Amino acid sequence: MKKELNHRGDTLVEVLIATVIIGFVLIGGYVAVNHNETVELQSQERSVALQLNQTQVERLRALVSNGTFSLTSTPTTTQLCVNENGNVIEEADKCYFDSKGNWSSEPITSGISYQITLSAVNGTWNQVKVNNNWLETGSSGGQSTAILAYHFYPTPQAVSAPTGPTDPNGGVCGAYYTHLQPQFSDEFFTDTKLDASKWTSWNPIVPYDGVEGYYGTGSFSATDGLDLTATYNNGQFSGEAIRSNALFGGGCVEVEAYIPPNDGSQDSCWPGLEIYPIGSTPTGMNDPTDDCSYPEGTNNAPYSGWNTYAIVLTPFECTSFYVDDVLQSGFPDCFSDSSGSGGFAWYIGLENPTMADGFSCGPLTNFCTSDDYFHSIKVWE
Amino acid sequence: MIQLNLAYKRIKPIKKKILTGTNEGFTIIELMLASVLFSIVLVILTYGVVRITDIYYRGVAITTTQNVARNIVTDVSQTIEFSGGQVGTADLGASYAGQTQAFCIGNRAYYYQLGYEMVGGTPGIDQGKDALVVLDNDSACPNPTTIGIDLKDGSIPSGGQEMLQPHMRLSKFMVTKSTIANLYNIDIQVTYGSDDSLNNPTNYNGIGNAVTCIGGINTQYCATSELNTSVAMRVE
Repeated sequence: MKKELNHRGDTLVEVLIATVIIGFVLIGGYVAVNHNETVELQSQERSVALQLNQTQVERLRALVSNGTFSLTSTPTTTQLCVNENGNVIEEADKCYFDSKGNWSSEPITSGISYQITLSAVNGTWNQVKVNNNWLETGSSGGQSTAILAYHFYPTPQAVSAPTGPTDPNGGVCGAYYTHLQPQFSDEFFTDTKLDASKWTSWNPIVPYDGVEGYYGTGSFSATDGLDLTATYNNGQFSGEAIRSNALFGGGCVEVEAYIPPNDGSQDSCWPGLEIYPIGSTPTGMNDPTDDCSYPEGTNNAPYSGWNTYAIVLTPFECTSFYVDDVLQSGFPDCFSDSSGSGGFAWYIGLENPTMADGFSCGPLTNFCTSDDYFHSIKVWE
Repeated sequence: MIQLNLAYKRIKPIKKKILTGTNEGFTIIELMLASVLFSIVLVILTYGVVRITDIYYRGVAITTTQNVARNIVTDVSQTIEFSGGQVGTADLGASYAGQTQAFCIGNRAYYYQLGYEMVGGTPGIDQGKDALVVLDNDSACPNPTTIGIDLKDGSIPSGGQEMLQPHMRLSKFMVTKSTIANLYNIDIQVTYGSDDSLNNPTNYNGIGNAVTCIGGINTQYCATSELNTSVAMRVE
């Protein structure tokens, strides 16, 4: 009973002090959370600002790509910006943008006004610094800045597929020829030999929907490929490179090689490329050696099934056939197949033509034993 | 000895008070004063806690919405830049209201439903189970008018991934060609909140009045984030 009587309640002063303390804690919490909200809104503004900076870089890249703006030119102004229509504004005090990237020559009055300028670093536009200033949300109303540095290297152009060749004989390349992609290109190897590693690792690219391009299983092995030290081997250069089971629009092939001397040292080999239309009848295949009465027509006509079509890298005029070690180019040959079920395979190698009838071209029956003469092989589909 | 005396003197009055039972209770005035005071304090405390909670949830909503919008912009931008495929444009008119739409960048398909709130349970009015589904598709790009699925029912394509979070909706999803060659403009707006916390909740792509937060009592359950950028294809 005494203990209960000993209990003393809190005085009003104590309660007030406790309340004040709790109040301070709550006010502190409120201020912190409220500040956090402001920071989040400022974060949103910064996200927008960074996207706008990126937009400026992309616009400048686009102008460089289409030749409107030169990165190597000496800047005529220290600061500029690019508006949504691709116009370069060379006055920094007229470079204002809203949050959607729309340009204004005056500060934006409704919403946040971003002042964005690009400046050249080290005296050229190869390196640019994008500077973005705006008044931040919040009671302070201070100015925020977002900076983006960008280095154009080497030139801001998109990587484009090489343009396909034009067939001088008027071959038709099919409706999908606009999708030309280099299915294979070995033009950057050393002057005299193909890079076998490129062939063995080649995985054809499927250029458009509906095509199943593949590299024939087992077409190459460690012992064939382009190692031409073996004896005659009709299959050693072969590859079912491009086939289509669904839709085949057409393709182009081009080879480039050195013509060996006709001194018997290389068996008078002719670098050649054989093409095998598969399954249907391509149109527009041209024979570069027609002038030579090349007898492949016995196999080619009517260009269907597994008949052979050949490009042989002789000079186009038989009279200039015997050229020693001069780089010759087999003109590109283009053909199309609209049947939707065709394709082509190819063989490449050196041919030993039959010379019995003078300059008439022989069938592709003998392949020579050297690969020293091929320079490049390009196949488009 | 002196210290003991002092201690005794200090304790003595208390002991006397207890023993003599002279403790007095609060008067009714004191009690009422204390009650009023405490009521005020409690009201202030309650308001403070509620307000802090609101602001906290609002912060969470803003942050989440921003992150989702940023992720979508990044995803679309990088797909345009590096896919090397054809870029479809997403800027369909009012005739596509309420329909699941789709467009592709290369082999990546985006299925989306504009203006509808994504919900986890059974969708009600202006709601759907999905809002923006991205799918790496190796077949032909779906035709927007014949895709045959409805994101409102959650019938997302197999392998598809939803990019929004519950209670969010896609208020803008525009991928358009810029007047500058080889450049694409991306305009994404993600909105968080139910219909009653938004002005013009089902408007989209800038058709009609903008989607904004109403404010007031539901302000903590509302946020919107819009990002614009332009990108060019790095690989063609």
